[in-house]
Amino acid sequence: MFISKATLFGLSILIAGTIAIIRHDRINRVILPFILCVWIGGINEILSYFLWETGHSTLINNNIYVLAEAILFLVFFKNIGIFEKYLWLFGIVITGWIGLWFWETLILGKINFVSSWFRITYSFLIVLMGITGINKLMLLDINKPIGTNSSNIFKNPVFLICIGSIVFFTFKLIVEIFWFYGLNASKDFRLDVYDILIYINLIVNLVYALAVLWIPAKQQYILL
Amino acid sequence: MDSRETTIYIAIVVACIMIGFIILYFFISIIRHQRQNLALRKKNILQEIAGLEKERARIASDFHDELGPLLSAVKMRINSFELPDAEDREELEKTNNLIDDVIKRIRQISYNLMPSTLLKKGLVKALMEYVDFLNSSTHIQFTFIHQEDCIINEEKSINIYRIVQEIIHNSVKHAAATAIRIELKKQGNKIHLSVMDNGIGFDYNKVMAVNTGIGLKSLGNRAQMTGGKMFLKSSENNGTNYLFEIPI
Repeated sequence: MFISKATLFGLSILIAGTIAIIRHDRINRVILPFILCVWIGGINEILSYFLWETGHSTLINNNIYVLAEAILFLVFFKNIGIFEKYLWLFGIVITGWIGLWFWETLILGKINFVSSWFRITYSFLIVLMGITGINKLMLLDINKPIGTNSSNIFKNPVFLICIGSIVFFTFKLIVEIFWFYGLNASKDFRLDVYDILIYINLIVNLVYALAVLWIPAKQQYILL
Repeated sequence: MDSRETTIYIAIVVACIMIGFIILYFFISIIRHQRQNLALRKKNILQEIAGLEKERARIASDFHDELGPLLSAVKMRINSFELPDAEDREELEKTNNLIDDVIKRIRQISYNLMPSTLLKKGLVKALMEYVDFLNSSTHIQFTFIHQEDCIINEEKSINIYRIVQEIIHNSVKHAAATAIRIELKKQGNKIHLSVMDNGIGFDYNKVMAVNTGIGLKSLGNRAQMTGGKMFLKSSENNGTNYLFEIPI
């Protein structure tokens, strides 16, 4: 029961993915890393389901997925102008993440375990980037890169993606810290926490679907 | 606490620290972006004002240097006609007067746009000229008290001159003032400009709420542009006193 609900809710990411396919020729390149992330997320959910059903571990594909997710979110935040004045910081973060991932999963040989250090670090930084994105959006108007003119903030895709990221990754951060300290030893506790996480995942996936729906079309001409 | 409880305790503390840091970052980020936003807006306003002044100077120069001489040439040409008929000569005289009026008006517009005295002789002389002009052309009594050593750079002079123009425009148009007193003093490394009128005054909050206070905002922007501060004292039926503190 738990697995089916988790899978079903996890697959809700495909709503955003489907909307992205329908609107693929209208979607701005700035938002493309996020769309890719949505699709990789959807594929990972399907893969995890089949691996689980056939009695295999899902940790390898999930460990690879978190690296892809982290990098794609980072590139998305770069595209919307978070690193506008600090491009060197983007280089440091991406190098640091890839280095940390390799160190934890390959050098320490934890490919078959949860890569806690990497997950804690990237969740934490994505939350900070999401906060920066929202503040920049509200106070400095970063609509320009994706050309949205909507005055309703709740119809702004950048705002929705940032809010979704903050909510999901804040909870994920807390969960990863708990797991890091071995609080997942109790199966009941672990399942209860995952139960909350899958509901948050569902809500965030629906928010992402709205974000993709409200991504403005590419500008067909240049105003001089 | 046993070891299990200690682990739970540490996990909760670490999670709280992380969340605390996120909240702190949120506030720091808001403040930082708010400051950036203000700086950006200020920069835009300053650029807008600088562009406006440049454009005014260009138009004033075009009026003064091109239209003025052209009209003078027209006047000379029509005066070169020898007209035997008295009626025609009378018409010519009327045309001459009209051309004189146009030349005078062009000079006046050009002067309002960018007073040549301001650029050539400085702020004090320009304000003296302006006050003389106002005294001779309006029924309001203008007084200008100044120190001769109020020397300030051209950019700031233009802004101070515009501030005075804007205040006088407000006082004449809205305050029904009968007397306006302008004071320009140097104190230390600051210029103090004070403009007082005996008009009906106003409630600052009401003005800003009702008609968006464009004139007052413009004064504030000009003061900002000079790097100075603006102070305002006004209440209904008690006149208005504007005070500007501008660094030299």
